[in-house]
Amino acid sequence: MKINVLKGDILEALQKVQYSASGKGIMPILSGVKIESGEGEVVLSATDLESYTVSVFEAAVKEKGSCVVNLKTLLEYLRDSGDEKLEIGCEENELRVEGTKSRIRIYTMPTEDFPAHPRIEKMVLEGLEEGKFFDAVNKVSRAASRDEKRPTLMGVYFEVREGVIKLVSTDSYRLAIKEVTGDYKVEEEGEFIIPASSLVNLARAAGKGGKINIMRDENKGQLKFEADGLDHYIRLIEGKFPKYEQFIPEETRTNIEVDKKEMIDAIKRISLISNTVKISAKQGMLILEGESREVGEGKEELEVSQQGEDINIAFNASFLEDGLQSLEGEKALIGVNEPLKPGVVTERDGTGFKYIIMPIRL
Amino acid sequence: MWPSPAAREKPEFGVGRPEPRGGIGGSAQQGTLPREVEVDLLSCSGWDEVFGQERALAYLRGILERDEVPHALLFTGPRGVGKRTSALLFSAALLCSSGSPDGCESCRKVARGVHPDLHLVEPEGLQIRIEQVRELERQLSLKPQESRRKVAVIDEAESMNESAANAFLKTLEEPPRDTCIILVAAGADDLLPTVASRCHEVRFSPLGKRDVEEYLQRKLGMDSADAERLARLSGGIFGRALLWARAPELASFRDRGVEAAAAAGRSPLLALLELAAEVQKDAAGVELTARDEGQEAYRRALDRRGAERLEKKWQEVLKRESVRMSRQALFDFLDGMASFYRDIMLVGVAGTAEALPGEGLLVNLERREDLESEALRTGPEEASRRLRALRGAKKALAANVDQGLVMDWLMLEIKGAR
Repeated sequence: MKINVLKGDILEALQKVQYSASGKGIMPILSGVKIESGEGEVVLSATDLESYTVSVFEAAVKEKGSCVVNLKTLLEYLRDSGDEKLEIGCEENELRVEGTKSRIRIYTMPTEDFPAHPRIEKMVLEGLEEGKFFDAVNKVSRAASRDEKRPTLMGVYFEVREGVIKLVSTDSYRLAIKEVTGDYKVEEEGEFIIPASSLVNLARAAGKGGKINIMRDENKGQLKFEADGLDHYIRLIEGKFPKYEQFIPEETRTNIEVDKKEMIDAIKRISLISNTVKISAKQGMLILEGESREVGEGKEELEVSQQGEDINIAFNASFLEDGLQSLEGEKALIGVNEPLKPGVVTERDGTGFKYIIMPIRL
Repeated sequence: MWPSPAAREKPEFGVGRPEPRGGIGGSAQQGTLPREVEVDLLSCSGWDEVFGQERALAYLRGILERDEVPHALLFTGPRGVGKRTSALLFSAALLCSSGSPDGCESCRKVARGVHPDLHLVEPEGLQIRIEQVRELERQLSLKPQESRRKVAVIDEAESMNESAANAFLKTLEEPPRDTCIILVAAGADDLLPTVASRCHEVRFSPLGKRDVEEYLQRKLGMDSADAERLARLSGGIFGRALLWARAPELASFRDRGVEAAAAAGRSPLLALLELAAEVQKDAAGVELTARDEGQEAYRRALDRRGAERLEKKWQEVLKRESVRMSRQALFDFLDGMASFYRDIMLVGVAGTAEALPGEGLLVNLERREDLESEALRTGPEEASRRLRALRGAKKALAANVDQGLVMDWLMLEIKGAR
């Protein structure tokens, strides 16, 4: 292999694929990046077997070939390298990177051990706006479970229907739903459980301004997110996602409109004392209380606008805060029914985001 | 779960004695772990890589062709007859697009142990721990990466401790889709009944002496006398014959067992106890050291922390395997003793060694004279009593009783009858 590249190009591509590489895993090959040179372009791949990222950039290819080297070493070298133009060559078991001032030789790993590139062709969704999609990912993924004993809940449920797509996640104490609208084109309806951690990594690597296409493989085992110069493959989670609709209250009897920032700050102060925040709404006055035997007690009063009956209810403070943090705008709506029925946190000017939270029995 | 490059590494070991004894064919100082013996020769390019297990293989190929692969299989049979090799070949067939091990890229990955859809679980130390089962569950909860299916192979499944086995039950009861779980164990009785009853059992039997002999001659190029001897001594346990062929030092423990049994009648108790202590010391000295190019390539190519991690893991594996080898050496010693007493019983029943029909019956043919004189002295009943004592000692060793204690007890027991 022999190629001439601009440092900026290869560095950008490396930074995009780096989240898929895994230095900790049991297979050392996964800490590597595969460099392949083809017709006028270079393809970088990295995988941790849960996600697989492929990034392509243009380069002057003098000789085709491929090799695998440690991603971190190459990335850190390039980040600090002063050269703008680099000549990269691979011979036997060494990769050489040469500039005018500095050069490096890195030992390669066996290329044939690198996991194969998934083949994915069936289009699911075309022309989805990156910004909107990844915003939804960031909002929803917070509610996903981290409990490895329940793998299906560690995923984000991705529901594709004609006209509307939904992202849902839950850890069985709370549930977040976001609808994404826009002028994308649904080619095929379907539902997928995507590991939340991989999706968050993708959100970090991807841009904000472009559009992505989403494809699936033959047996619905993997999804491919195709963006400009970046293909990201994610292995899906097996299993059935819970029927989440049944947890969404159709209507709420007491509806409280609060100032989002005020409310978040108040919850933060309460959570210094206790992780359970007791809320009582009384004719336009919201009282937050927390107490613990070890620390002490705290009390906050907020003026809010209230519709419906007065109520006493308690929530997990950090879960409630997570929900409020995910909202857009200055005002938040909190709707509750009874002390033991789930509450709903939404934006006042609804943008298709709902956060359902189970109360705590006192 | 052992890191993937395992299959490509060829650990070597040196026994804690200067000159290797025995010198039966093969290379003098090379050897592999019992576990890796089979894998080492594996390239997953055809069903004939498993030797002499036609019945089991015919069944496996049948369910593959009819597409009736049960979600959990249990391969049972003595150690070293090709269960693990068969499990890997069958995995290769399940994962390959052609449906049989054909040496394609996917099959070669299985052979090297780096196929992303093959999950191999082996005991770490003497047990399979619950953490390993949890990790497997996590892996299996994802859809396959390269293939249509996922395969989990649990080697030495009997070494799952109770909590691991119970955690594993959940996966066995409702395995994720497109998943085939293969448990490899000595016998169904060694597993929790709840585990065994959820698997479809496939039995592997010891090979005939002739099969082993033929293989050693044909594939390892051994001359016929050596091959005959090894095949006879290994009792049709293929992996053992192969290991001894490559590591005569290990075969020596068995030979010493025979010697000890032959001398037991004449030697004073004190000498026997000393001998036991010496054997135990030598067995503890069995050690593995590793050098391998594949491993080396990774160690160089990783960054410092990764390389350290790899090295550390490798050292842990070596240590664990050394302990296993030491144990195996003691078992070999006891097996050697047992084979001698078994022969004595035969000779005792027949009157003389000459009177036995054919040569196929005696294991220790080389010691016909010793056998005859000892048979007169010991007699079948006493030999049978000593065999019982040996069985007791093996059981105690398997249950991790202190080795010195077991060996001392055994010698006392053997001497104690008169």
